Amino acid sequence: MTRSRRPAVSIWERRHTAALAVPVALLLVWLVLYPNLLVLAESIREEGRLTLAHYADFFSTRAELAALWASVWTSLASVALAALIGVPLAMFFHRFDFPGRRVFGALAALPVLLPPLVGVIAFLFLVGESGILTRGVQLALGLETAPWRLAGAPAILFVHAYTMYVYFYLFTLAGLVRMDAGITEAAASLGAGRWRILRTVTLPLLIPSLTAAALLVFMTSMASFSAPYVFGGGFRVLTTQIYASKMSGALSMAMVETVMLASASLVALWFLRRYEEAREYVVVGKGVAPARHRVRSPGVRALLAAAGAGWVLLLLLPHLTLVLVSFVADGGWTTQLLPERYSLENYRGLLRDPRLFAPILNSLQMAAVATAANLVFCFVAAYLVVRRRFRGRAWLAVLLVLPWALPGTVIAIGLATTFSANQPLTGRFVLVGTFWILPLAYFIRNIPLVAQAVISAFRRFDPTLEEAAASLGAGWLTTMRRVALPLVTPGLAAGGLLAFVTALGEFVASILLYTPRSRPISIEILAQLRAFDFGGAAALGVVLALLMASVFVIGGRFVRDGVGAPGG
Amino acid sequence: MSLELRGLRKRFGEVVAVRDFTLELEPPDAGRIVFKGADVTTRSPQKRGFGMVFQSYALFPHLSVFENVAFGLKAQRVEASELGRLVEAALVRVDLPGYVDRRVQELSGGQQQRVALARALAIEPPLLLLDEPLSNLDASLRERTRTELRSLLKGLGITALYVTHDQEEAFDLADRVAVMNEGELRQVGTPEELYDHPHDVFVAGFVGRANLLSGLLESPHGGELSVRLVGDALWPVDPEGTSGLRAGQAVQVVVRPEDLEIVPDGHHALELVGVVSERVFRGARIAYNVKLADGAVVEVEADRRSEARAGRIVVRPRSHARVHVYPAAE
Repeated sequence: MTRSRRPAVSIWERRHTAALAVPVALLLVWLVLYPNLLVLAESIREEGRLTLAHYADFFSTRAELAALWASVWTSLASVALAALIGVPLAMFFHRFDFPGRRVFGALAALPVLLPPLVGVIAFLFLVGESGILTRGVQLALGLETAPWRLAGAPAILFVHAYTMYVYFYLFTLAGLVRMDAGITEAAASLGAGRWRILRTVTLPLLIPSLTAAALLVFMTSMASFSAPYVFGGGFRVLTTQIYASKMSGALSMAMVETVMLASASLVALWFLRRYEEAREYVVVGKGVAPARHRVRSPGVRALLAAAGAGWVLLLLLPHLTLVLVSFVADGGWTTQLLPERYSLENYRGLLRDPRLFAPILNSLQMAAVATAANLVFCFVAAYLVVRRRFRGRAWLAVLLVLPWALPGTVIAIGLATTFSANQPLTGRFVLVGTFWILPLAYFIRNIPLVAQAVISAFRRFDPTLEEAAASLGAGWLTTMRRVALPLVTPGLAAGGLLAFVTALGEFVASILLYTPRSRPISIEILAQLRAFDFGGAAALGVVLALLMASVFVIGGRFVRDGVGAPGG
Repeated sequence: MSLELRGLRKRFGEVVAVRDFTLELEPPDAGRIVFKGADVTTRSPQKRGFGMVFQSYALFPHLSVFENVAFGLKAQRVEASELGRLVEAALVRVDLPGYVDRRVQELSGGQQQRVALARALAIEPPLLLLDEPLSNLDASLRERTRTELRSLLKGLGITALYVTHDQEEAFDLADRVAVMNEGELRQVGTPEELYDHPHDVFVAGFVGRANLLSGLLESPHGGELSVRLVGDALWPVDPEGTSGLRAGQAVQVVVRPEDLEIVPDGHHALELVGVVSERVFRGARIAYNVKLADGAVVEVEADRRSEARAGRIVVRPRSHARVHVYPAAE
């Protein structure tokens, strides 16, 4: 029996929904919508008057237009490069069966797990001007100077392609898995060759997946800050241009740039949502299991396994470099190919020097505060979105996704604008310069992540369970505590872990908002890098990666042991 | 029956659906629900204290069998010392003693169904609501569980409201059956009343097989009504269902296949003449589809001894009390 769920009309329930929805909606409007509207207002205001002068400024300044154009074209190029790597890789792992396929296939998703800043400095140590690979080539060819410089647009694109192909890889793989193998077999039985099938059947069916991946890469690339910041030099994109304007005190220009960046991201989000709606119409048959091509010849099997292993090694090279550099003794690596002297002094320094140890504690503390808030808030919000019907529910859902679509730079500028004045009547307090501004930023940035996880957990379990609890005499709170909460715990745990880990390594918003007394790990890594203490920076990067990995290992077990809803 | 539903209406968007007991959880748009003289329409589900058994069982997957059955008792703040005894008693009642420590996922569909029943019964509800409780079981298990459920419900002696789309299930379990169509109550009665004296064409067709013919009412002797059918056959009708009908009115005639008999051609007014168009073997009995002069098809069920040949066939009703007429639809 199917039954449509419609607003329950009992007064008690209506009041109860309002009592939950109103605070949730107010908080979202205040923290997600309001700061961005303030930025928009600031961008069209000059000494209390409305004006478009700042926009005129923007569009008549060469450097500004160049940054806008740079953001757009590097993002488009990132999409193309990421697709070129990710799509064939997914097809390779989907089609062939060879020893180690599962392990290598899982590891191929690795780059997305590393915090962007750590990935960027790992690249610096590997292929930067004095990187290991660079020196190797220089020595081998007997060159006087480094064979290349890791700077400007090519460097940014290189890092983007390396990290963002994962979207194409995962989406293509998911699309291929969903595809009924019977379809390609039907094409083959009609006499189509392998390339013809790929061109006329497989790729057209993958278009929705590829479109979604392309939009995601575009949005991620537009929002990218770490790579342009470290490698950009004179080459500015919008995110780094905003940072420069903010730091040089050109606040009005920073507002205009922020509005431009936010608009581009929102347009991409709009397209993405449209495509996701369209995607629901794609026919997904019950399906025949994918016919994986089992490679028989031992020689070819070894070759494929070697190709898979080689690929993973290539992926791990930056990480391995990071670990290596973290053990380099002070002055132990000057002009040689590989460092000559190794020691634990970088790690000892972390423990001994409170200046270096404090950021680790700060990050842990701020991430914990933000994640705790995320868990409580997103549980209530997800419950409302999935289980209750009320006016404005769709808008609430949009506000829950919005911080995901907005670049960290945009969110940070919004918070810096809103919470640097003390006007309690308009909801503005001075938080900039206090401990609370970064946990607040992390909280906002991670709302979509946690909310999405809890929403799908709520969708997975049958609402009749809550009705059953009520019929047995349990009140709303009891039902939440004894039925809903235990059943969505896996979703809460998964979302919370991701949020905690993301907050630990957060850099983009932190660099615009941090206070020296409670600076996070990422800012300290940057400071070490600036002071040319590469070993110290690498050690901090390794500690960060280890912290994140251990959270995943400990938490992953918890998520797996947690009780899944039936069929979930 | 201690439950009264007075003038209830429940709409879901375009669809008017006072059906199933969705209305027990979602307040109706109009009308009252009265239980033992008390209006419980706006009382929240957790305060009504009705036991409910859901189609999906709705067992809590994160709790053991014991915890599931104890759930309602704990909400009633039953003392811990009593808890074990009551849970065990509820499980004994559904024939699952010793299952307390199992996880609900380990149980078969039939066992889960019985745990759901034990959970609902543990709070000793004055009324038990069952929402298609057997529809998730496969056919053979459904029949067995139905038998168990019947003896359990009869033994408990509490009022139970049972929703089903399966007429056989309803007849098997119920003292009284309410037939609903398009959100309206069509007839309430014992299974026998429903089968022998259906109030309308829908009920007649819903409970068992029924032939539908059109005819014209006449009153040949100025007294009881008869109906004139195709080929001039004239059948006296069940006098119980003719109030409000008068001679000259067009009507729909309902007669069940087993209430027709095959007779030799006797040129009697009762006889309806047609041609056998299909013969269906049903074991002890044989059904014939008889095509009448106007193209309508009538099903006749006869035992195997009165085997008919193909070709012309004559049938007539066994008793006028089995010929029901209803006003023709406009």
